[in-house]
Amino acid sequence: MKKIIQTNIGGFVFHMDEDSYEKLKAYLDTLKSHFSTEEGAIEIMQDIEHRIAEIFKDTLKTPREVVTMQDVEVMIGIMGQPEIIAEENASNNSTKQKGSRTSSGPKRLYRDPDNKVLGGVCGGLGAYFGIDPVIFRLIFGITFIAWGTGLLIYFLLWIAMPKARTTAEKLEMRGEKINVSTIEKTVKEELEGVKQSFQDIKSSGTAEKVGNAIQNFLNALAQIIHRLLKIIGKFLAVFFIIFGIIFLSIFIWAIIFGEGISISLNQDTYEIPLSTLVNLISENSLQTRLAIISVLLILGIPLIMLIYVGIKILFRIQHNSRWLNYTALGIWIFGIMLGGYTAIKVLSNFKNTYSDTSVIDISLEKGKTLWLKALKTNTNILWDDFLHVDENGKVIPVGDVKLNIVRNDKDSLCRLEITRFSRGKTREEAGINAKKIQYEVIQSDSVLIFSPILVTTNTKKYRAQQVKITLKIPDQQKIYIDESMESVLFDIDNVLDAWDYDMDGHTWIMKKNGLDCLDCPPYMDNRNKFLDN
Amino acid sequence: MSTQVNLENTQAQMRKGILELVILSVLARNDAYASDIINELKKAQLIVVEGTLYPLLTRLKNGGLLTYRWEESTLGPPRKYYAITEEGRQFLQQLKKTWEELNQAVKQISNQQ
Repeated sequence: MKKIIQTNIGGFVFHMDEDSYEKLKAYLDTLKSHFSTEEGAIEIMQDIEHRIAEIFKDTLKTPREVVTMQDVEVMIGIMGQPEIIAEENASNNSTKQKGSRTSSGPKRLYRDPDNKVLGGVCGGLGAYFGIDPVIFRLIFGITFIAWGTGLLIYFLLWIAMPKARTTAEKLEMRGEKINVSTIEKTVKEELEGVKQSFQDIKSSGTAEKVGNAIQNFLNALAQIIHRLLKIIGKFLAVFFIIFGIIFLSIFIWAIIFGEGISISLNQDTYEIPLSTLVNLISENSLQTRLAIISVLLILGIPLIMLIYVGIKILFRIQHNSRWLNYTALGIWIFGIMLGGYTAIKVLSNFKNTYSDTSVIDISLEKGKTLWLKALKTNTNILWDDFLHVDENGKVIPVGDVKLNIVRNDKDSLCRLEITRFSRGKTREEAGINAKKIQYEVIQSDSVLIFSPILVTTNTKKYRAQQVKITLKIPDQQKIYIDESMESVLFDIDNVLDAWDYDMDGHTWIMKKNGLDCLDCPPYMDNRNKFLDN
Repeated sequence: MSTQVNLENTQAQMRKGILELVILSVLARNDAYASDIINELKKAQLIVVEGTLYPLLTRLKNGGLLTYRWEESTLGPPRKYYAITEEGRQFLQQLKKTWEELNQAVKQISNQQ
């Protein structure tokens, strides 16, 4: 299936398919840019177009027939390659200086088949920027070795850049030198066009016929928008490329070669590979690898396509690689499916829960206040209470510790109930994980010392491990909650309805109706505060 | 490149030099369409590709050596029908004279060998 374009050549209407149209357009553009310096350029082009129309009319059997690539090639054979025309013309025209043969028309990025090591990408870039291709080869060479990103971009360019097959294309490839002043010129021209369009609007305002004026106005407006979009498009393209390359580099760096993500804690910076993090929740290294590959594909493919589109807009490459688009889409969908599959697999590691409770009685002299204190950990929090980094920079999965204090209505002892929770693929696995949780409460005289985090032994896996502690105390038992306990307290019912984070630093007493405070300031009392709601 | 002696290049240069002479000669016989001129030059193997002729015709017209008028065509829009001017005829006479002299000179020199 091919798109058909209707076009007017020398006063005749022709139907052309897309590639033959592009080819003809490129041919005419090259000739036009070649003759642009000459007096009567418009006339020459008209004559040539006229002749082209005649040639097409001769080759086509019916006027409805479509002009194909072959017809265009035959026509170019008759009319002559732009290079030959340019050469003959140059020596015929005595007023024209030698060396002005380089066309002043727009330049396009092509791969240079005459100057290639691999695909001619660097040769084409060299021709485009008017720089020795060796420089590009060096840059790519270095980035091949250093980051690997260069390799990717090289192949991307290889796919994006069409090969300069015809002389017209080779002329276009060399075209006008691209440097700051020509870029400035192009932008100026575009802006000039915008200005011109605005003037058109103005003059259209004074036009007699209103309908005509509106028509003119709309045309001019469309032109302005078109030109502005073109300028914006270029900036966007540059942004796409820079954004894409930066993120892709970070990405590839982090994942494939990755020493990974740098995280600063306090004054220390830890380098934590992404694989280490994924390893915590996966079942085995295969799952980890699959997860990383799918993340790479899901995020990487759009980044690659972003760079590709940027390159295409910036260098006005019209050549469309359908297979690339479909391949990219295919790989991306595959990445999503792989990601979905891996996500289900990883989530299934958390399917079952197991809990294991142990009860410890606390011996305490009658009438003595029980002190609750928490240890300081020698780890740094990486992510909430889920990941910590130990002093060697190693990531360790940790779990939450939650303490509740309730009334012991059975006897007059203080009692600790420590429940270890864990998840796992099966109930058995969850049970094993729960038993691996290392957690103890140390009693020293009348002081209970809690650790604010739990540490797992013999497992490097995070399985939502948790420790819930219930401290049961009899009536009239006084307790002092030390300030260090703040992170351990969880949803403790008390008479004042005080918040957990307010409760530390005060002495409490167990009464029939619940825990009451002995030395709390009035602001902690929430009993009548939320009645309005 | 231009300093190198190249057979093809030299031949092309020689052909190009007489192109104006030949075009004017064709038009001196009778008025013609561009395609007629091209066909004759192609038959005589003086040009290879057609694209070169159009700039040349325009240049000759701008120089006042030939003119054209629009002729209705049965096939489509009107086409340019070229004719030589009086100035063109004088120009052609001079070119022909030069050509004869050159021809004579070449013969004379190469026969001396």
